Amino acid sequence: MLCRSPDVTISEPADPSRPHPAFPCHGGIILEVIKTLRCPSACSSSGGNMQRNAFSRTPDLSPGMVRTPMALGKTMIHLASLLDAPGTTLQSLYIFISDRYRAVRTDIQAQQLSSAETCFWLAQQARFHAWAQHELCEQSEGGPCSKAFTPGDYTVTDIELEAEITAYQLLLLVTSGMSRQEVLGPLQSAVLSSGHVSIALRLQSAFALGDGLAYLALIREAPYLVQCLAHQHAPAMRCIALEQLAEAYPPSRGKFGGAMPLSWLAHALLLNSSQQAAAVAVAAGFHLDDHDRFHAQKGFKAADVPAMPKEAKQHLMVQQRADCISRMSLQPLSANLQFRHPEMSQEPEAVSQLSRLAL
Amino acid sequence: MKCSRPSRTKQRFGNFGHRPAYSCAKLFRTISYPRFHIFGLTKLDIHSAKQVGPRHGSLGDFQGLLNAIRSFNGAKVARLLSLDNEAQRLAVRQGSSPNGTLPESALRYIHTRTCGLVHDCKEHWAVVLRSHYLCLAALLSNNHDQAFLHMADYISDMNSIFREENGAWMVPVVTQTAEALRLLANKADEQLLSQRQHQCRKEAAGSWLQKFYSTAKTLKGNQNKSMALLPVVNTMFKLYFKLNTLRNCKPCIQAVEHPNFSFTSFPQSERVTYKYFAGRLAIFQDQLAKAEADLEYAFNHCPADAWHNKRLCLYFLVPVRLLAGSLPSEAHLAAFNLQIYIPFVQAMKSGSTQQLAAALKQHQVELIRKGVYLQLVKLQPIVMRRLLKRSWVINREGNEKGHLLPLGQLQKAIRWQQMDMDEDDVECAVANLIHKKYVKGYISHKNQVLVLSKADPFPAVSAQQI
Repeated sequence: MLCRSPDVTISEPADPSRPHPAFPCHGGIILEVIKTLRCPSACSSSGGNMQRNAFSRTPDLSPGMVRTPMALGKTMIHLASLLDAPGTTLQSLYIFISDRYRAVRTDIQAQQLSSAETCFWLAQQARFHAWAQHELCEQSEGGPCSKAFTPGDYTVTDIELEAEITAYQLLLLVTSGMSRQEVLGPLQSAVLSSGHVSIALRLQSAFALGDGLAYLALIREAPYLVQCLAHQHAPAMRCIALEQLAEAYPPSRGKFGGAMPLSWLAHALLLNSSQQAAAVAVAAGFHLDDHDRFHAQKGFKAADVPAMPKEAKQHLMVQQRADCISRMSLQPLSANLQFRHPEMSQEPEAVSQLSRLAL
Repeated sequence: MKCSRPSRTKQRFGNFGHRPAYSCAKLFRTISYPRFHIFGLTKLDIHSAKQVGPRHGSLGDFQGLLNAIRSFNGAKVARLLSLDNEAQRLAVRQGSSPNGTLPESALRYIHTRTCGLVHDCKEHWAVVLRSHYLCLAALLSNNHDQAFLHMADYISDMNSIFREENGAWMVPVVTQTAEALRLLANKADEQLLSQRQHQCRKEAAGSWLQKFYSTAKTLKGNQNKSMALLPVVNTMFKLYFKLNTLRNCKPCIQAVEHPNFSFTSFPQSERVTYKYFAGRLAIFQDQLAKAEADLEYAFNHCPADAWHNKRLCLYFLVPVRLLAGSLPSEAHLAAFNLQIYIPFVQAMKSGSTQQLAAALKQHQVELIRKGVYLQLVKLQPIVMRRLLKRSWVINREGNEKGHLLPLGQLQKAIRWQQMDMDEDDVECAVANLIHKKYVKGYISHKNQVLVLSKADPFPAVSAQQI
């Protein structure tokens, strides 16, 4: 918006170790100073063209009117540090941070910034949203805002970063062929032939083919953030995978029949444990024996079973999650966060391991 | 003495009321106009006419245009309003200034003459004709952006005429204007791109075309005006595909595929164009049966000598047919310059997963841009099926238990093609083939064996629904 920017302390470098001064409350969360808007037209402006026309390539670098790239950079670091803010839920943090990220994108668009730093911020925002898509999947059906993945009028000059953002965008559009083509059509060749886009397209093709086993296998091999986004369709694809197993494996009779281990089922369906696999097998009408084995039953149809609930934490993804957090340059998640893997709460060393991951 | 009949002057020029006939006749003899009707001209009009007089030729067959409007001759109006009309272009080029403008006197003349029409929509026509000539003048000075803006100035008025006029005589004018608007928007954006400015004319053209579309679609009382709907829809398709805003095509398809829409009453060229774009959109939406029907219609109804159009139809029809298990011959593909699909056909015939992967990688960018990449990726199970079948044929030679195919053998065949798949991947791939009904049988996980049906273990791919 065309307004006095929030005061993100331009005059002196911020010392990360020094706590911020007292901020006024914003919805009960003490996170940022917001000055009174002084520009009368700001509240009614719709952004976009008006801002672009006024501020494109402006020589005016006064922090009072527009956030300079340096201010935007400090804002990004400050927002990343908020994930460690005590006494807040991840959901409320997400709402605030995504809103502030949107404001940063608006500033980038209004000033038509296209430096390497800007590309990195856009990629960071896309990664944050991809990460949150999985962390909050149990909380909301709709999922976080997907606008962060739409480059819009920004110019992303880094091919690798553009490919990464495009891959995340494709994974959100897995069910819409027209939207997928709208995304892919105008991209340059280097982006289209990149590894990021290739794996996103492989996931899309598995989804389009209705091959649940292949889709889950691709998730298993994918990078963590790709897993986060692809995981939104994992429950539906598990149902299809069970249907595939029911068709392809015989009931237990004859010398070619026989039970299969639940560990194999857990691996194939990307489940956390054999116990979880047993629950899934029972829901699909499969029979269990006493030796942690199951027998497939014909006649199971994916539509017969309601979609399985989404799970925020996959055991197989925990280690990758830790690596990803360190690579994303986010502050380590503190032990006070309310979203914790059930297994992590029983294994405090896993939490402390995460906490030890420092920037 | 009073004459028994009107004087020659009065016979020729009519009665001017208070003006002496002689002076007016002398006035008009000085102006080299063709036949014109001067009833109702004011002093200012006569003055303007005198100013424009030597430059009247700069408007080409302007009188013919007025006559065509008066007589509701839509074909002639469309021809004279065409930006490609050489006679009109020549005339305007002679009369316009180097910077692409017409003299004010010419514009006043256009306005005056048009408002002199006995016509309900004369005010709208005045705007249309004025802006059309300005557009033509700008176009001739290679200022495509300005030409587009002039054309955009009169779209609204032309739409009003289309809506208010009785009969369908405006249909040719509307369809020709829509196409001209699209072409001009393309050129204007190219000009803006060369000047490093934001390209927005095609988007604006899309909004203007929506006006024609809405009028043609929702007209009540005169169904003949809906004859403009399909041509306008086709123009919009071309624009939206260029802009890559494919979701805007959906309402157009719903309107055309409404049961009450008389599709067969349109010219073949429009039907073929529509089916081609509808087929491509169906591919994006994974509606392959519809895509096959539409593209096949377009291909079969193309004229025999329209090689390029046939090739365009085949480019998108071939992947759909491959998924249905129908393989074209390599000679047929070569005849239409579609060698890009030959490796895919060979991979399907031989069961070579390596060749399929290589072809997908080599042409990935082009296939993604055209929107058929994912359809070709869907050939993987079919190629795997072919490989499985070849392994089965080899396995059952001299083997009583030929219907038992070890999964390790299939894995070896895949690894021989330098493709890396472990046992679990092979098992899951075979499970998918059984699920898709490409293979009849079941897997023994314990024995790592595929137990094939003894009767027709490999049903035809064409028998499966795509």
